[in-house]
Amino acid sequence: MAKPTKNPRPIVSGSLSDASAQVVLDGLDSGFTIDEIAPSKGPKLRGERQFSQESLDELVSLSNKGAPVAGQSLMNSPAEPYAWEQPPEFTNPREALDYVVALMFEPEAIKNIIVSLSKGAAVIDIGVAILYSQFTTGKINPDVLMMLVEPVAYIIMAMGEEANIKYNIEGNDLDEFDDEEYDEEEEDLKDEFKNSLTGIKEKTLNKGIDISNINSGVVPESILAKVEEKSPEIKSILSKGEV
Amino acid sequence: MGLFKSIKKAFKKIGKAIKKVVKKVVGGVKKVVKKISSSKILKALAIAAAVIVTGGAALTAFGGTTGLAATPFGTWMMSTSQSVLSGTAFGTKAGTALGKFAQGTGNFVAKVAAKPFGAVGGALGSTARVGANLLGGQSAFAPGTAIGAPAPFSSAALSGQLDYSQVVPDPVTGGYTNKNTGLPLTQEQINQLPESFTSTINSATSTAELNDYQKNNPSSLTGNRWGDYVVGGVGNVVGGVAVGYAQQELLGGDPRGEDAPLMVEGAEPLGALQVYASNNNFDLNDIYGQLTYGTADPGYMASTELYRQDTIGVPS
Repeated sequence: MAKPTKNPRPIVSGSLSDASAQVVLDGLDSGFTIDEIAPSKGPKLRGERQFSQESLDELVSLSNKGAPVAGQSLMNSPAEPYAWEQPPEFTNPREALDYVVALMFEPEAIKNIIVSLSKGAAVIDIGVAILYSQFTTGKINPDVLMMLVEPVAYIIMAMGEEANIKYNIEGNDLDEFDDEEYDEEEEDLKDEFKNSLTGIKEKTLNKGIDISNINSGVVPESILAKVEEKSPEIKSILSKGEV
Repeated sequence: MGLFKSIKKAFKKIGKAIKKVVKKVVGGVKKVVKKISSSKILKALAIAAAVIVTGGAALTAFGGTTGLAATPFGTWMMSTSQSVLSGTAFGTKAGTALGKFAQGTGNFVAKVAAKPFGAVGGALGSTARVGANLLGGQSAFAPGTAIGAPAPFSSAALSGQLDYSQVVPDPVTGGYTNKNTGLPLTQEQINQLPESFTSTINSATSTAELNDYQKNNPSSLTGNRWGDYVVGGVGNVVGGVAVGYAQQELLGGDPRGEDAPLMVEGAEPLGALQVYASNNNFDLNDIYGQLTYGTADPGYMASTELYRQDTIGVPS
C-alpha cells in the first residue's frame, strides 16, 4: 500500500472490543486494506469439537465423587484458610491483566492453548480455566476475574488467528460468523431490492403523472381493440377460478 | 449455588456478549467497507485487541521471524504513542499524575523483559507455526521455512534468537553460507542475523586483535552494546579497555533526550483520556486503577514506549 494517509487517532475505551473496533476502523480510514490489517494465511485448520467417550467417562467419574457437604468449608481451620479466602495478590486489574497475559505468553501455555483450540475447545472455556486457576491460587478476586474475561478471550482469539485455526468462541459455534455472513448478504440483497422499488415509486410520484395527460396514441388502436376483445377471458392469477 | 457455578454462568453471559459485540463491530465495519468477510474482521479485531492489551509486544510475539511486526499496519499502530507523546520518554517522573505507570510493576513488557522479552517473540513465532504445520500435513513441531527460524521450543526459540548454528561466514564472498544447503544467504537473510554474530569481533578474537579493533573503532566494540557485553563478559577474552567500555555503556545509564512525563503540561495529548475520565466521573489521577483500553490508554503507551526503547538483546 501507499503510506497511511494519517497518523493513528488516540483512542480510550472501557471495552476492549470497542477500542479494537475503533483501531481497525481508524486503520481502514487511514488507507489500509483489511488484508493488510489481517493478512490471510490460507485455509484455516478447523477446531472442530469432537465427542470423546473417554472424556465423558472421566467427567462422569468426577461427578460421581460427589460434591462438598453443605457448610463443609466452615469446618476448615481459620488458621489455614484457602488461598482464595485471603486477600488477593493483585487488586489492581491492570497489574492482574499484565500478570495473566505474561503467563499466557509462556511457550508451554501457548502450546497448550493452541492445541486446545485446534481440538475444539472454546475461547471462553479456556479463559475460564486460566482465570479460575488464578482465582483459586489467590492471585485475583472474582471481581477482577470478571474484568479480565474480555481481554483474556481476545488474547486467546489472537493466538488462534495467528496459528490459523478456526476456533469456537463460546460453545460449538465454529461457523457462526460464516452463517452471519450469509444472512447479512441476504439481508443486503433484500434491502437493495426494497430500496430500488421505493426509488421507482418515489420517482414515479415525483413526476406528477396525470392519467388525463397520457398520450392516447402511444398504444396502437388495433392492440387496444384486441385487449378489449380478450378482456373478459383474462383472469387474475389470484382469482378463484371455476369450480 | 457454588462460586464456580455462578462464575461459569457469568462467563457464558460474557461469551455471548463478546460475540454480540463482535457481530455489531462486523456490521459497523461492513458499513464502511463493503464485501468484506466477517471472519476477516474478527481476525483484525483479535489482532488489534492483542496489540492493545500487550502494548505492542504481541506484534513481535506473533511476528516470529516474519509477520505482523513488519507490516505497515503494525508499524502504524505502534506509532500511536509516538504521536501522542511527541517522542518524549514516558512518565518517569515521580509524583506526576500518570507517573505510576512507569514506576508500577504491572507492566507487561517490564514483566516479560525479565524472562527475557525475546523469548516471547521467538517462542510464539515458532508455536504459531505449529498450527500451520498441522494444516500443511507436516509434523506439528517441524520448524518453519525461514532461514534461521528456530525449531519450536528449542533453546534458540526460547531465547528469542534465530538459529544461526548452521550459518558460516564465506571468506571468498565476504557473505554467509548455509552449511546444510551450501547456498549463500541473501542480503535479507544476512540482515536477520544478530549483530553479535555478524560482527568481526567474536569470542574467538584474541585480546590483541580486540584492542586493535577498539583503537580503530573507538565508538563501538562490536557495533552493538549487547555484543560488546557478550564479548566482554561471556566471552571472557577482553582486556581492561573493552570491559571498561562495556561497563560504561551498560551501567552508565540509558541515553535519553528529554525526560518529560506523558506531556502532562500539554492538554492535547491527554485529551482523549481527559474526556473519558470526565465522561465516566473519575479523577484522571486514578487512571491506574481503571481498566481502560486503547491507543491513548497510559498502559498501552507505557508498554509501547518500553517496547520501542533501546533494549538489550539476548545471546543464544
